Amino acid sequence: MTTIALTAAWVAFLLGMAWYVAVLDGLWAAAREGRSPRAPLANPLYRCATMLRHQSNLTEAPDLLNWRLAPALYAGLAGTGVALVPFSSTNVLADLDVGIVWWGAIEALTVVIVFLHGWSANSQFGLIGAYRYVAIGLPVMLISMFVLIATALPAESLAIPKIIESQRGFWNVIRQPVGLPLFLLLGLSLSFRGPFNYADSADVAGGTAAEVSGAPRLVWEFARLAMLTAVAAVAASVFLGGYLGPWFPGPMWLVLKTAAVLLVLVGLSHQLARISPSRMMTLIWTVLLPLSFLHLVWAGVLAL
Amino acid sequence: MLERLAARAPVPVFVAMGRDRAPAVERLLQSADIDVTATPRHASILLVAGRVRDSDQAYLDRIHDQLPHPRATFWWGDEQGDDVDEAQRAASFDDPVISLRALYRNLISGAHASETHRLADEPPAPWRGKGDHGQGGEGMMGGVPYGRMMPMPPTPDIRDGLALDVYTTQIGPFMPYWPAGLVLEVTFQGDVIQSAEVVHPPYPPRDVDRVPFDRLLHETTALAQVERARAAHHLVCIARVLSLVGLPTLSRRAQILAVRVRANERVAIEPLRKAAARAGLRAALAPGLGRIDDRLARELGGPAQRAAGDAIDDRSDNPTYTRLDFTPVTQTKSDCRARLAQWFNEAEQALALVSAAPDAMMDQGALVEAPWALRAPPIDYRVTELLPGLEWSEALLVLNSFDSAALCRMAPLEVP
Amino acid sequence: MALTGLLTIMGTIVAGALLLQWVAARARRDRVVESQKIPFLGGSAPQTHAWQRFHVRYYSMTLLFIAFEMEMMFMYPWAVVYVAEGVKALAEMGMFLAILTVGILYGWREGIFRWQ
Repeated sequence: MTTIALTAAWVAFLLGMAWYVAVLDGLWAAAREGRSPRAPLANPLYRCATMLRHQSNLTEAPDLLNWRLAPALYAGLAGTGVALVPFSSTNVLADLDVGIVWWGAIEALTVVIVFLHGWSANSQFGLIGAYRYVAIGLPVMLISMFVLIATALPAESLAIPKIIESQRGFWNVIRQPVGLPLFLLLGLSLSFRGPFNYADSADVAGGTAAEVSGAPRLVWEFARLAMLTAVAAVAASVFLGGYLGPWFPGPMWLVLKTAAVLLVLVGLSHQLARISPSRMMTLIWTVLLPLSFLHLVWAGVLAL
Repeated sequence: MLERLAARAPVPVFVAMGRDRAPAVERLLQSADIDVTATPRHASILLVAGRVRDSDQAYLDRIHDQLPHPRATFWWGDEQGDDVDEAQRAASFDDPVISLRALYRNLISGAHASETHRLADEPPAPWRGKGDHGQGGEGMMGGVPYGRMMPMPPTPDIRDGLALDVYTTQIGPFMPYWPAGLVLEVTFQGDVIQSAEVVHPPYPPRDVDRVPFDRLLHETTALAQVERARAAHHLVCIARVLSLVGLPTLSRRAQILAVRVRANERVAIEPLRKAAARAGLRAALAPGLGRIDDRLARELGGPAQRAAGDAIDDRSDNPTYTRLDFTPVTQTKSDCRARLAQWFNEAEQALALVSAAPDAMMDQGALVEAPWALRAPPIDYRVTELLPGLEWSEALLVLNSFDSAALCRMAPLEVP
Repeated sequence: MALTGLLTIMGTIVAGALLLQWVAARARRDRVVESQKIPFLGGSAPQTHAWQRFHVRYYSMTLLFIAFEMEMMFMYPWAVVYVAEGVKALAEMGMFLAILTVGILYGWREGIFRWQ
């Protein structure tokens, strides 16, 4: 495919999957509340329009540059995350030799960006959301990197296309079973949803988004969905074999697998309660991180 | 084009609870056409439910001005000013959803003008500097940046590097998931509360919850009515806690259940309880969070006392109940988990009583336990003693684990 | 090559998002009034700015995090040569992880995972 066609596919993938997650959110919430969903397919678009119709808010002495830059950077990171994922064995928008390293950078920068978003507004609830998020975002990043490096071991490479190729025999979800569940936690954390929603939750009156209205809010919410898509796409590639699969063309498999991972992620974000930040921090460091060490050792033994 | 799409969206509403004649706001959640937001910045309509205290009018004006344009106010309740437009009001017993949707559509299309600001368009204090651009002033900042000081540590030496800053602010009556009407002056160090003081006390229990119990004082009332009111009250309290632990869909389900209970439908709380348990509700409330000692529990009375283990319930002396083999439910530890479990158990027990005796009547003046403790005498203990040392989300959980009557007694206005 | 591609993607999205926010802000005629700028505190007005030397209660945890981050840096090239190096590489990584795990245990006992 030419670069133009590939770029168009990437844009369609990002926008389409973000819309799909929004639709799933609406359907799942309606099912949990025991009612029929309200205009399931169009509701996300209506809510985008509402956000655009609002005035863009300012606070008394905000850090305006960072405040407007944070949603934009967040969306940019999510876009590059999706660009790393190959659609087929010859089609990848950004064929980076060290895709896993770039992904690590994405995770680290996301923590910084979410913090900046909460800090820039010069509002106490934004600050609380930002600080709580950093405490959780940092250790989750470690877990995800150990899990990703474990998948890089059999491939002898940090490039995502090569990792997919190394799964021609077995998908990594079978060889390294603990990896995918741990990586899904990263998805929830990077877009702070459900049990990991320490940044924007309702108990801090919207947290980092408490003072944000209008187009900046739309970009922020879109960036969260795009980041969730990026994590799902990487999970589908690195654990579920990406474009590998019989009968259907490669890109279709990628879309199906990403959609399946997104379904699980949306389900987790609706089904699990959020524990207090200090307990979550303890849980991550004392249970999940040692689990990821063991997982890495297991993957290492298997790769030899 | 954008207008047409936006007009079909769910109406973003921020709810400001009033004190008197407040309608049952949970009725709003039955319709998927209303989005109740956590902050006024995400809302287009400010819904004033009931009548706001006069002392709270300034706070309400501030909230109103914080809504982004296009915005409008909607009054839901029986008391409004005479000059309120018909499109912006609804009576307590009415369902305001249709009016809200119409108002929102008109706001979006421009047919209804966006409301102008109520407070003055001035910064809190002008930049106090000397030069043309505010430069050359005195003090560390060269002036007063945007009229507000920076938070300073509580030491006489202003920039002692070892003392951390404290941030003191009043947290107002119209916060989401906050006891309605309570204004606390909170001192934070980071996100942990160092101290708190009551500036305005919280509201007493809502009229809509009190009606059957007040009626029992004057006339013969059905047991079913009393117990349904109890179950609905407890479900609303449970819903607030569910929202705080990050389960908004279950919270909405609980509130819809409360509405249906009040509408005399048959409902089952067990599926909600099971769903909450599966979602990890117990893990979300740390054991020992919000622990109160037995002396305080006894003084508080009501569900808090029963959650601490004392089986004291006025209904044990009521013949209508003893005929149905009523025994009070209790929990063992008196922390947030126990109080939440107590609400669940009492609501289930109430609905079981309703289905066991749908036609039982009680004579006027019969002794019955309200969903909150009816004891009037003030107590020494203050909720502001429970809060220091708690992180913000834990503090909210502790505050919301008490019903409004208990909070009224624990957070009175201190007379100097 | 791919790096320039990624940076272009990043730059384009950032520029586009900033443009969207700017255009949306200019499209409305009503400016943000001073009383609208008060940060949301449930209706109360703040007394000071919110920017403060916020007590970062997990500061010690971040130091431990840096240690693990450096291990991650080590693991990037380690992962690529792992299969070629064999059991020796596994042993090295195992040692590194074990040392850092002792760090986690020590930190846990010292209470750095509590909200101090």
